[in-house]
Amino acid sequence: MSGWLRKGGQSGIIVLWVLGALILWEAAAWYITDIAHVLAPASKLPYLHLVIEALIQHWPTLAEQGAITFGNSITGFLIGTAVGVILAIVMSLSRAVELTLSPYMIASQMVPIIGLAPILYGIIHDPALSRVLMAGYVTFFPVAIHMLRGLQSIRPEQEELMRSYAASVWTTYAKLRLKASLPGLFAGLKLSAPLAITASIIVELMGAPNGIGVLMLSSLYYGSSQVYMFWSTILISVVIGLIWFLLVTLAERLLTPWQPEFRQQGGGER
Amino acid sequence: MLSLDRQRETEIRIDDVSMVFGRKGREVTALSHVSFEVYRSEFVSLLGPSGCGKSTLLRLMADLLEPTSGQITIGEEVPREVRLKRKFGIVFQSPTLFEWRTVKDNIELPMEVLGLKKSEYSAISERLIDMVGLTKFKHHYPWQLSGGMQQRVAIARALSLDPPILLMDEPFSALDEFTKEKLQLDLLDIQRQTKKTIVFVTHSIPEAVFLSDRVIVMSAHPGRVHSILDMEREEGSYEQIRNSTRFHEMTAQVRSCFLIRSS
Repeated sequence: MSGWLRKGGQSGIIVLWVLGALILWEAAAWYITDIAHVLAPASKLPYLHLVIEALIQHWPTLAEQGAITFGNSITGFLIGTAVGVILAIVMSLSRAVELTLSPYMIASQMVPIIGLAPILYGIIHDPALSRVLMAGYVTFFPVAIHMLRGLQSIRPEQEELMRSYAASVWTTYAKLRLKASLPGLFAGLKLSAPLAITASIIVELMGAPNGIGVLMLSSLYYGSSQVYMFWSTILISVVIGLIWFLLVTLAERLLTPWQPEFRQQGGGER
Repeated sequence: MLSLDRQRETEIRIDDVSMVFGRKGREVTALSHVSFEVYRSEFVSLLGPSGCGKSTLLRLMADLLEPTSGQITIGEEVPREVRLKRKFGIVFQSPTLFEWRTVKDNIELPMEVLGLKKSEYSAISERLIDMVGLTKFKHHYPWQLSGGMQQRVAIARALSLDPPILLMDEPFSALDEFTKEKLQLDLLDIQRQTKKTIVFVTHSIPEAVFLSDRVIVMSAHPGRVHSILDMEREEGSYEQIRNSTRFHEMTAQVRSCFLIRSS
């Protein structure tokens, strides 16, 4: 998944990768505007340097609204993670609970978030709380499912071994199951990190009065004059999403260094 | 062990043990009226085809299962008491290492569970690591080791609480022939040094003959003891033993147990 993060020269690779994307963008915008002479080219794909110019110009507004959205989505993500972890643990302890809860959990994921967001906002009418709840809502399921799979991934011999050491139920759970579940937990976190940000933005598109999503929507309404602002909001969302994903990956690497993904690293880490 | 001055002090007594799995109407008898004794500091193999209940028997001794009927006593105690006192170490066919722990951390697991302090057990694990020849690999993770090395870690881990009894369930059967021979010799060395009582489950006749003081030959469906053979072990190098007349006689004798049954 994050293969390009592995090696020693990873920062160089990231720089190259980002530069490449930026050059491609600029080249494509140049082609659309000055070669193909497409009608209203800026609303298709504007020049990147103009987008960045707008981003700098509107930075105070963007930063303020962005902080609201991403602050809420991160809170929601953390709460959703906590709920997911607790659900996974409870389900791992009791097969009956697992069988009872999983249909509800699966059904909950069938509700489209684009429909749920306005309903939720209509009920509680608090933009901050709605964002937190939506972000938590999309987070808990991947976290719970992947962590549960991790908790259940241990082999019978491993449990027999702990039993032969006369380990208590709690010790066995902590030293064996919880440890074995960490890779699953991180798989869930990596899936839900970008989702949590999208979910918060959707709340804003569906009626909340502030946040980056509102800027996105209003700059769309005002047409070509606001095109650069619109693209700035997109750019910011992508960058925040990436940073968040990288933070989760970093935590994963520190907490689960034994995972196959990190194996090129050799045995240097402890 | 050449010395026949074994005191023949009984360590493990299996007394008319039967084990039935499954619910009523669909019962499978894994063990039927099994009785034998294992002496202190003895190397005993449970040998038989799959389905003879040899692994089940080992799990009964380890208190990982409870017999349907009959009794097992280890010393003066039932397996449960013995387990709670951590008087046996166990080695499975798969190394069953915890993949998030390094070699050293894996070996220290039993001592950590027991609640010993790191300062107390660090020296013990270092010594065990040296004994199984993994000094250079002590900070490696299991995936960085070969199958044979992983099984060495499992053996060291089983020895970490210095239990008087070692229960081994086909520990070498997944290894290649060269690694297997090396580990067999190492295990004999360990037993010579530590005087453990070892119960060793295997389906390999030469392995059982090579390692054991006595071989308990089991037959399947239902699992029961077919015969108990004394191996009259001699000292010597691997080649000497493997090429000795005695080794071939014993192998033939054990093999005949199975031939008689199938004819």
